[in-house]
Amino acid sequence: MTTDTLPPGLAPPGVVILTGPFGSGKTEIAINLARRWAERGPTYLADLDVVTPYYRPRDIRAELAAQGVRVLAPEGKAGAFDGPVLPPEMAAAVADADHSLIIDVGGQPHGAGVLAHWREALLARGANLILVVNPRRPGGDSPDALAELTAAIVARAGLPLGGVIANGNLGLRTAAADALEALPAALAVAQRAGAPLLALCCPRELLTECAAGAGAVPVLGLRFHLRPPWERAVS
Amino acid sequence: MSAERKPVLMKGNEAAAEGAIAGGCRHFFGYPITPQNEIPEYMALHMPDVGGVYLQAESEVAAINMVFGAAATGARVMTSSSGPGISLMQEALSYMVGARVPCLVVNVCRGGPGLGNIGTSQSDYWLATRGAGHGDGRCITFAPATLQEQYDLCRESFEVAERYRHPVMVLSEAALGQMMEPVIVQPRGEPPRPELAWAIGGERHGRKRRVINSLYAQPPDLEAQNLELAELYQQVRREQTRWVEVGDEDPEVMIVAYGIPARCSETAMERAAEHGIRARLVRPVSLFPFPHEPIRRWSAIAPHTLVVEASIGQMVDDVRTAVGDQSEVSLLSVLGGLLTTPERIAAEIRRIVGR
Repeated sequence: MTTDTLPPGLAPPGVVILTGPFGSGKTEIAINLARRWAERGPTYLADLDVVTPYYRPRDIRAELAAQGVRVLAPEGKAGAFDGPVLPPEMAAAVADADHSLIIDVGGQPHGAGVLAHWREALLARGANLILVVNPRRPGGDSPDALAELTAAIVARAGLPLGGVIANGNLGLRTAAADALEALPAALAVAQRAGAPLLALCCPRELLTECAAGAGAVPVLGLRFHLRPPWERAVS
Repeated sequence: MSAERKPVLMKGNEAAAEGAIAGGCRHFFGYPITPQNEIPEYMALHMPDVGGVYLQAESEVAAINMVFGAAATGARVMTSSSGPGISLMQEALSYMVGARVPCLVVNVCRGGPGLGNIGTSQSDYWLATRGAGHGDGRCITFAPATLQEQYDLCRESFEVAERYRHPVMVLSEAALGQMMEPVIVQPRGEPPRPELAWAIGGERHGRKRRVINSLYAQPPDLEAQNLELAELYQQVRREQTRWVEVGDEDPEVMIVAYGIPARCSETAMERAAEHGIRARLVRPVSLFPFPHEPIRRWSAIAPHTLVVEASIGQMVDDVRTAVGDQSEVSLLSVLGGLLTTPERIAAEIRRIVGR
């Protein structure tokens, strides 16, 4: 696919849950999707990382609010701790069919456990649990490790896997080859889990090049939001 | 001869742990504290791969004493923690300096004093460079600015520690521990190790008894030990003083910064250059021994010196010692766990230079 349209499974309205190992890039994908969803209707972005208290959507809450995305995350002191604190509005947001909802779940299987709180409501809304795969992480290309992680996340969340996203990346130093070489690993994990490969992600600047190499797989161009300040300044 | 290795995307704490394993670390003793938790997590996962030992102790005090015990037998051993935990480790670190045993301690620095917060900080500069612990000892301290450097320094630190029979600290920052960057990782293998003529291990095969001890009850004995350490630190200064410098050859302003503030300073220098300002960055990589020489040298050329640190004004003491009255020294402190920004540094450079 050569256009940067939102493929089925990643388009609003609805609920999408992004999960995966840390470093897979789920938070940047969540932010990018949320911004695009907000163009089509009211959108919540739930920042449910209860394990690693850094580089989270709440860090750019104001910027996202200006773009119509309401970030759900603990506020004030509770938001600055590394404790298992959940945003109080979450229960209402999960049940609110007037809003689309993107959930960024950090902390791998341990973090995914928080989803079980809202399992019934998430199932009722047809929430799509998506695994993000980055083979450029150490061990990130091992089908066995990915299958084990997927099984653990699915078990802890109590939700079926709805799809896989290939997000091969080296952060801000990602080349087209990094993105494209993620396809085999992502396909393998998708096949083993019996879920579709929904998309391949790449930096926005590499969209054309990656679309040319991705065959029939839809390609999503990403803009990076959680850049360290020295990188933000030179971009 | 080795083929070019592909970089992998690593979290800073993982890079520290993997670097240590590649450097031969086979024993890890620690206790959880944010923002360094990924180091023990990584060690718990990967120590079994290399036949190593991972143990979560009941406290930081216990962990560092386990490090002491293992180090005394010649094991390549490390611990990691953050501010409050590093405070708890000071007593045993001093014992290790006194007993002359090598180890690696990684401090992923957070905001303080007290519990402070889990934001990024360099506020343990004094604790590291004036440590370790009580008495007339120091702590060889390295400070990375990139994750590749974090990996490389942790990998190399065991060799440095063994060369001088002395603890080494890698002073990292919360932001460095938590951020992600590509890192080129070397094969783990078993690095070659020198015969350790001091390591204890029982009276095996009729070998003469060895003793590891930091007690020198007779004042002349302790005096001799203090003088031996002083001589050691002179050797360390000659052999381990490390820094990186970039920028203009005829600077109007010299910036001295390490770690994250140094990275921001490089970007700020590009901003300042747009206003025709000539700047040079001297980035200490070893904090003890401190690179006085390049700072002294550039301060003779640059009329202004700007110290940027994520602490209240700690490294600036060492910079002032190096600069003397050759250059006017200003300080930009970034506090409270906040991240330094290039904008703030660039504004300070422009204020100092006056354009």
